[in-house]
Amino acid sequence: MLRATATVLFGAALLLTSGCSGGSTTAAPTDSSSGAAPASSSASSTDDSGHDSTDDSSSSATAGSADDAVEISVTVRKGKVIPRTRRVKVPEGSTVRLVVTSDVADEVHVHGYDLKKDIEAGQPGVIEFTADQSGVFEVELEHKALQLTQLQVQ
Amino acid sequence: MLLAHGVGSKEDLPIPFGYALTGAGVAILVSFLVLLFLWREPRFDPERAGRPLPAPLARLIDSPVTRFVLRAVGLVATAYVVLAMVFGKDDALNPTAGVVYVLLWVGVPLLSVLIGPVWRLINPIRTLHLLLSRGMAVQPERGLSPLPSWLGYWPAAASLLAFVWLELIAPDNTSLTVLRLFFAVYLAAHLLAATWYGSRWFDHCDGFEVFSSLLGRLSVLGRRPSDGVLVLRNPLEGVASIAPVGGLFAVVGVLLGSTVFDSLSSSPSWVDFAQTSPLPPRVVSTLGLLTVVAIVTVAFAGASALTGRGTDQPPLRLAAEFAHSLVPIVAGYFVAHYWSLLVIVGQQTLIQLSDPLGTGADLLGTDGLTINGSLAGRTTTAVLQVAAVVTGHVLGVILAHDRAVRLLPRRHAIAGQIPLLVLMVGYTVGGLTLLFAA
Repeated sequence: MLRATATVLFGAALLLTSGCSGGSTTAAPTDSSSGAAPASSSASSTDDSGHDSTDDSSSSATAGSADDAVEISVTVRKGKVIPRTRRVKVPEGSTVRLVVTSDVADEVHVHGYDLKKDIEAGQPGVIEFTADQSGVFEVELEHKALQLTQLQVQ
Repeated sequence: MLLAHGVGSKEDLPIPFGYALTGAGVAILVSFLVLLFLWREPRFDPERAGRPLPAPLARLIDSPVTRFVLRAVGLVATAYVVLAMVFGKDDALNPTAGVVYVLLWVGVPLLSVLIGPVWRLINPIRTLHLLLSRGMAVQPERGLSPLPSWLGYWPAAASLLAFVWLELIAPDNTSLTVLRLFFAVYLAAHLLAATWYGSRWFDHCDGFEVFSSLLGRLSVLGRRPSDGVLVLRNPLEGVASIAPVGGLFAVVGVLLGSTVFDSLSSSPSWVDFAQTSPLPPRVVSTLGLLTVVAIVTVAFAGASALTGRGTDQPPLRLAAEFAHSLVPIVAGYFVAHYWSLLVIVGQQTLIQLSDPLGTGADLLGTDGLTINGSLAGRTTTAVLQVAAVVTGHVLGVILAHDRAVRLLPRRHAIAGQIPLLVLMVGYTVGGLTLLFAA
């Protein structure tokens, strides 16, 4: 009976963990995986972090605008995160462009880097920064306490 | 865990797969070697083990002056932090959350592993109780009523569970309002209980003190149970001297289960599950925490009961007899889980402590220092994580083996250990899997 318990335990652990490795994605540069089109975001795509960022952050963030930029788009609709929360692998030193669109106004927070940006309802908000610290970082919609994605910088 | 709005809101990178595999291989191999080749007669004898410290040194450590100084230091340091907690600015620069979640929760137990049960000597609630008893002219050890033995370690398990819930799940758990409330309740509850039951309450029922005292048994410096002499000893003798009091396995289960839950709950799959569930996320997390703690604890109680088949001991008694063997496993997993937090946020907290009220003061002279992250680099952290988990496992297996050959009938002593061994391998492989994948 105990062996059965241990097996079940370990099986559950494996299942859970294989679940999360399955959920982690290596973002190809210029991967735009959700429908959030950040075309109208030129005004809001300023980097308010003080971090050095690439010069072209004000150009609309369409695919291919910056060669080594990792673009991650997340949409929040009716309290649901689309695509589902996952872990995105980001090479250390690359530029990350986070595009967040929410149906209610909120604040996007990149933990660890401590970058924050207010976003308007329905308006894509863009945070662009250089991933110069390694580790795993959560990106959160602050007031709704929704985790949008995790960045695994290495 | 996440300290909001600070350097602590960064988690470790997963350990490389090869590390996890090597660690698991070593753990499994050593387990079988222990089972097949280790001594067949009980070896540990804490009543007589250890080499006494030189008499002057022992006298110095045990002198009333030293005790007084340590209590005073504990009280003054606590008062200093309470000042920051009550009058400081509730912002990311306030040191209180770092003191609570890093220095007290991680630093004190790990310091105890090095030099023994320090919290017992500086525990400010114990000191307040002592002062109160002096003021009322009663002996601190004697309360109004004797401490019932059936309580065992259960109140400590409950107070630790309350704290890990605060740490991992409570809303705004780094805000001063929440911390004030928690510690006001904690202080009131334990001070009242100690007044009722006497200062023995702290020995078995104050979660922080119990945690520090259990991990303190891993120190080479210890007190021989038979005569109270301070000795330098094999840490395994120290752990083997932990009294098999009821509820011990629950304390260990809360510590291990909550650490596992913390790893598990940071994985994207869990986050997605909790966020998309129809129940409020904190309810889901609370149920998750309780489930993991229950699985870890019940699996252990079941494994010890199976191991003890052939003896006439009741199952709960057997769980208490073997629970000490999980102490090094808890310590190992704690080091693995919290190392980088201790290094980075620990230093950050020491810097922030210099300005407790957010007035720009530099009371401790640590204000200008910067955080040195070299001890928590990626490779250092990964190697340390695997080494800590595997070392904890090996020590746990040896301790369980020695207890088994002491308790079990000779014919059953080797085969009987298999359930506990399988469980420990399961804990370790599960722990390494989490370090690699969550």
